[in-house]
Amino acid sequence: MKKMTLILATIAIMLSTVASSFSFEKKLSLYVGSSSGGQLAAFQTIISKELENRGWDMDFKIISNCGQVNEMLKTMDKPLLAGWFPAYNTSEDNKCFNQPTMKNFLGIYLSSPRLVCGPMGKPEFKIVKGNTYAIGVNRGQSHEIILTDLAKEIGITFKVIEYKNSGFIKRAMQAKEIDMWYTTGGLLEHQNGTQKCFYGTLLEEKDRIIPLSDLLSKPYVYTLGTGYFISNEALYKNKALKKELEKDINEIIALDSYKESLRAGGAFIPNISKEEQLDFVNANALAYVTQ
Amino acid sequence: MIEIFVTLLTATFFGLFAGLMPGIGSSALMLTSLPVLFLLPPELCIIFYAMAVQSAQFSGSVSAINFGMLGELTSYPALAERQYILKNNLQQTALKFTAIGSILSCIIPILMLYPLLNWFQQHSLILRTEFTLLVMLSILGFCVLYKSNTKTLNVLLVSMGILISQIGLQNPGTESEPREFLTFDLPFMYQGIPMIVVIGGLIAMPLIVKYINWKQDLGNVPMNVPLQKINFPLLSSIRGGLLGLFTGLIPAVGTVLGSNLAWKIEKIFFPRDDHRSVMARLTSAESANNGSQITVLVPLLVLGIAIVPSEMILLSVIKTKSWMPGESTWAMAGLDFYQWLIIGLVVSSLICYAVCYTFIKLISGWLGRNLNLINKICVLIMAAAVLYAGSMVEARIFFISTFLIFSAVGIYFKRVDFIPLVAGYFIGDILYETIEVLTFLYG
Repeated sequence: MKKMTLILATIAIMLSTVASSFSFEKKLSLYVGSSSGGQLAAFQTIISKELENRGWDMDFKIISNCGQVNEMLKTMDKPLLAGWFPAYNTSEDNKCFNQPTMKNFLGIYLSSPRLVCGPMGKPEFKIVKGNTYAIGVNRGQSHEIILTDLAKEIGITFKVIEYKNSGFIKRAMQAKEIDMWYTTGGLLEHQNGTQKCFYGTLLEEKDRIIPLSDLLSKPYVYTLGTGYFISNEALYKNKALKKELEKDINEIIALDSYKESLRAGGAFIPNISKEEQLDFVNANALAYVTQ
Repeated sequence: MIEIFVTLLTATFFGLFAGLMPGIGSSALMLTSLPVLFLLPPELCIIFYAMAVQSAQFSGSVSAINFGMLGELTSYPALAERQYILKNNLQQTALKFTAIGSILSCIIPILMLYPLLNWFQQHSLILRTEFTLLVMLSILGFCVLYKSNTKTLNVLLVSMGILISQIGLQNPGTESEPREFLTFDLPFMYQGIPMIVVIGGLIAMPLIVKYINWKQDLGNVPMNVPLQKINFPLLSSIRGGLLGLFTGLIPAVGTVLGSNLAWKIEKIFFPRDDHRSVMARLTSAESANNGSQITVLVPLLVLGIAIVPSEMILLSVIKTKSWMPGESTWAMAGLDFYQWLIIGLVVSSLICYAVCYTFIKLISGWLGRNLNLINKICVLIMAAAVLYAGSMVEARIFFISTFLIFSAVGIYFKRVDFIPLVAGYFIGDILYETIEVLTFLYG
């Protein structure tokens, strides 16, 4: 009798464990660690609204502090999803460091190529050999190395000036403080014929924008403005919840309206498997420090 | 469409109420309005700010004359002329003249705002980092020369402000590696000291507490006095309005300087203590006051730089809503942001005039009877706003505890004017970034 009770109790515990990992309530926190003014926050807002439309009880907050969100990813016991960025993973000492693995990685939701573009509103702009151009880039990355090599290749000189974000780069362009930029903006304007872009971190030539990899001989890993989702333990351990969430996110990023928003922002989602996406994201993180 | 009408009415009545209440300055007004601001798009937040502050200035002089209380330094001229006004039963006349002066002084800056902004945006020199540095340095200069404290204390306060602004994880969420400063490796410190805490604790709370137990026997202030037959001092109003237009661009002290300078200049034209001279001085000061409230928006709309504490609160809210200066494409019913701003300011001026002129006795009497309670409610609303702002970033306890600490400091050191510290806090980050860009440009 004692043995029987023990067996029944063991079965009950096992069943409840299995059931708990497959039972779920569609309740989720999505915290944005990136700054509120950027593309990353904007697309996470779209995804959160779409998840709500699909019956998710969303707790969506723009925290604007990846260090704080990283801490929440470690400590929160409720399912938490967070938008992450390769540049956060440049070093383990970084308070935002959170290397994605297959367990907590939920895929890329946006990727923008960096483009070398001329001034806004001047589609006739031409790069003249021998000239020096002030070029605006995002702060704290190793863009100068690629740009110096590119300048050598095309016979010009770049004076690289770092700005906090692409909004400030755009303002510097309006102020004529810089002649060109190397950032994630400009593709749509180039396609609309209001700005001229020349080179970019593209995989193949697009609208006469030459991929930097075609021009430069070194095996660079070119950084793109890539946003992806990672989750906390409470989320990825609840397999059913994670599966349902992945299904809904995949549906959202496949929507025509979402693709149109990406296109308007000059962004795309690489058409590769999740494993390849993870490799791509980690290679991008490495690219920030090893160029 | 309903949003704009709700904004217009809420902002006007919040402002009117704040202006009539002794102790509720523009900063406290903006802090208590935070729950509303968090719900609005950034453009409507700016329109809300412009209308609320303008309404507060409009009714502020009424509070100074009737209650004898100085809510903000901009109302000093009204307070200085109060004795003569009360002694000669000029309350209604003063109200009418300040109201007309305020509307007139709004019209010129409003009409000039649109071309002025366009001009600024077309002139690339103004958008350059060097110009931003110049604005920063002039803010620092005005802070050091700020009259309320000694120069040494001002230098100390500005430095402390810059230091406080650097606490936390700097540049988190941008592509750069975050820079840690005085976080002691405590995650709740990553956020840094929140703006709402600094301004609320050091500026708004001491002002409210100062007047919380204030009592005034309204029976001593006769309101039923007839309007006196004096011609409206049109030239004085225009002089004041134009002066305000330019002083509004001066950082930190522009609005205070405008009204006080206009009052002093008018004293040259009208030095005597008679009905006509007193009304001319008062009207000029009030016109300058309202004029400067509009031009104070120019640096914000062009460069994204706030130059007075209340505007700093606005900026901190709209920054969380992805707002960038000169980037707005917001429109409603076929009208763009600037057109709605102009409509809003004109309509709110008219509402203020009608309300102050018609219901002033009723409102003043009600406020006088319930001042203590209303002040306490304002403190509660402000605490709720801090809690709400904290919950937006999952840091409620940190926000509330730092708010209590800063309020205690503000109330304990009530003789110190913390404006230089607040200004230092607000420009700390921009100053750092500006210097960094300039080292790339010239380094």
